[in-house]
Amino acid sequence: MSARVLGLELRRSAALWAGLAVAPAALTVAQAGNGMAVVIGDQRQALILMMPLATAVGAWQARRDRRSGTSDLLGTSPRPAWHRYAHTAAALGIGVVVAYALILVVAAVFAARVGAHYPVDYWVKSMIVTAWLTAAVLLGAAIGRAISWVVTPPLAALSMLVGLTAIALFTDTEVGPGPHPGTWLLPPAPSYDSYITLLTPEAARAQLVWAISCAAAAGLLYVATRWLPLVALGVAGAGLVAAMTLLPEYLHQGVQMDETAVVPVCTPEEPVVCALRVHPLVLDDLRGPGGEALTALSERLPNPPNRVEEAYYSWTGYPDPWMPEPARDVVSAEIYTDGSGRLALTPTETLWSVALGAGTAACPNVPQEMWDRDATARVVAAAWVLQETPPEPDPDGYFNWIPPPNVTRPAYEALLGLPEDVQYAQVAAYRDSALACTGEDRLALLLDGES
Amino acid sequence: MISPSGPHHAIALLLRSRRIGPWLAIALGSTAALRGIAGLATEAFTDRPDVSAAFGFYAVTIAVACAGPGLAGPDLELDRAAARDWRPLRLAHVVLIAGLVSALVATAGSSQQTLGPAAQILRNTVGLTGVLALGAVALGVARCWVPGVLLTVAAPFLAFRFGGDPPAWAHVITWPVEIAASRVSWVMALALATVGTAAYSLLGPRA
Repeated sequence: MSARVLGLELRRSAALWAGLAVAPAALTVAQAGNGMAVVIGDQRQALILMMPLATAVGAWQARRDRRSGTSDLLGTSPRPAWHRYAHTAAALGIGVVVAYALILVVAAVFAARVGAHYPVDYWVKSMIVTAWLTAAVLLGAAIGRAISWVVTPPLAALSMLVGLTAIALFTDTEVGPGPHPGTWLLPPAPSYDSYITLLTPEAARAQLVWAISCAAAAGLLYVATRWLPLVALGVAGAGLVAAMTLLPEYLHQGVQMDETAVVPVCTPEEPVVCALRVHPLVLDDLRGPGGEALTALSERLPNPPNRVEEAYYSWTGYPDPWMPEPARDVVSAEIYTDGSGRLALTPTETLWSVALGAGTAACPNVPQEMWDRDATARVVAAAWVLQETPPEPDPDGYFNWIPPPNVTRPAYEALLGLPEDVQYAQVAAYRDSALACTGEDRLALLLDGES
Repeated sequence: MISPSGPHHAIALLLRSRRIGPWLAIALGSTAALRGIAGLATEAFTDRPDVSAAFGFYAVTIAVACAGPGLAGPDLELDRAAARDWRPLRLAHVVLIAGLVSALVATAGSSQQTLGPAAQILRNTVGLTGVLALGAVALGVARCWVPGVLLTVAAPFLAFRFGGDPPAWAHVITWPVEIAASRVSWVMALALATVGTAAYSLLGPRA
């Protein structure tokens, strides 16, 4: 390969445009505060956007000879045609790879600023994204070379978009348990992969092998003359077979918990408030309201909790979702972060979320007909601890689920109407029941002392 | 018998120079293919009306984008040299694209709204035809599909990212995937259609 010709191709071809097709990946960088698993996960989701654009650029580039009327002239050259195509393919590939690498560098700088957590599979996933982008631009070039109509670029791009949409749609139903490991081979990652999970080494290898084999096959298709298209099919087929043998039997077996992401990062001083390592900025927002809630709980409860820990939930513990273990001395706070990795709740909402159920997590086994009563009990217990009237539901905010004031406030006043020692005893009994998640009517327990 | 210099002959030549035949073939083929995929999807996802609307949107985009190369004849200079006012013909061409595509896609998806509600198809066709015409004026006919394709790629993604509560500026991009009752989406589509059609009719395409 001639460096001079490659340099010419880099300047004169659509390599720059191929790089611009990768631009949507840059939008994900601002999420670094939520952990780099979120950044790379969003980049994989954005493939549904970037791959059609890259395909269009490849198809546009491949029509160049036809567009400029030089096909016949170039056909008279004794140089094999693949020499010429190889330079163009390399220029297009360099365009997407360099652009994506630049985005990764910017992401790294941003991540360093916010102390973001890097999962160990981050770089493998980056390579998978790179391979898919390269595959898309080269497949577009192969299509553009084979069918050099003026409408080929938009047709190729929109066909890619329709294909990816249809595949994402039809495989979305397969997220549940079942033998559908092939879903792992789609460019956008299945929703099994989350901010606190890692791909297993086998699943990561399978995805990488498949994506690279697709990129290689697309490149071969573009430069192919005579029998080389058959080789391209062989490369893709071999990649598929290799990937399938690496994939686990079930979809959920392709991920594992990222133990380093869920390590608690705690305040050094009392009262201890902890957030997960995966989004450390949360601690800045949780520290104040969490400490305030702990102080209130310690004033109102016997055996009060002495720390607040961010709770997390995961499907990794299939068949049962993983949930925080109820503990008397720890409040598991349910956390919602915004796009930048900060707490999405206001300080007041955070304070209430920690105090809910007198510092207990919601039980997963509450029957549906009891949801409203259980929610009322959780809000009333928090109001009693904080010595504040229950808040009104907020349809657009965190409090969208709580029962209306005409339900919570009479219940709160009924509790306050009891003798003070009875109030303390019934809230303590309520808390014991909520920690044990026994199947009782906890609103009756809170207000009447018996369920 | 059609005389070589008669109006019928002129219309036949005009339609040929505007590549109406290949465009119709591609529009019919792509709409049929998307109707097939959307049919499978609507059977599988009976509770997801947005799915059929998405495929209807794609069908409209493909049919409209493929009309792009026909927005100019093979030789722009030759057209300009002709002693003919092209403005009414250009206006008619844009109206023809919007009318044919909306009728084609709406008819293809008419059974159980397989390609989405007809009002949504009409809105998207009108808006995207305006974008195509604007692209022909600003970028030339060879590249006039670019803004429409960018919009089609970005709109579902942005709408998904913003969920049910997009910021005001996002409607500029997400209007094609909004429901037919969304007033702002109609304002966007009609504004783009008006500006695009007016610019193309009055100024003509770039090479």
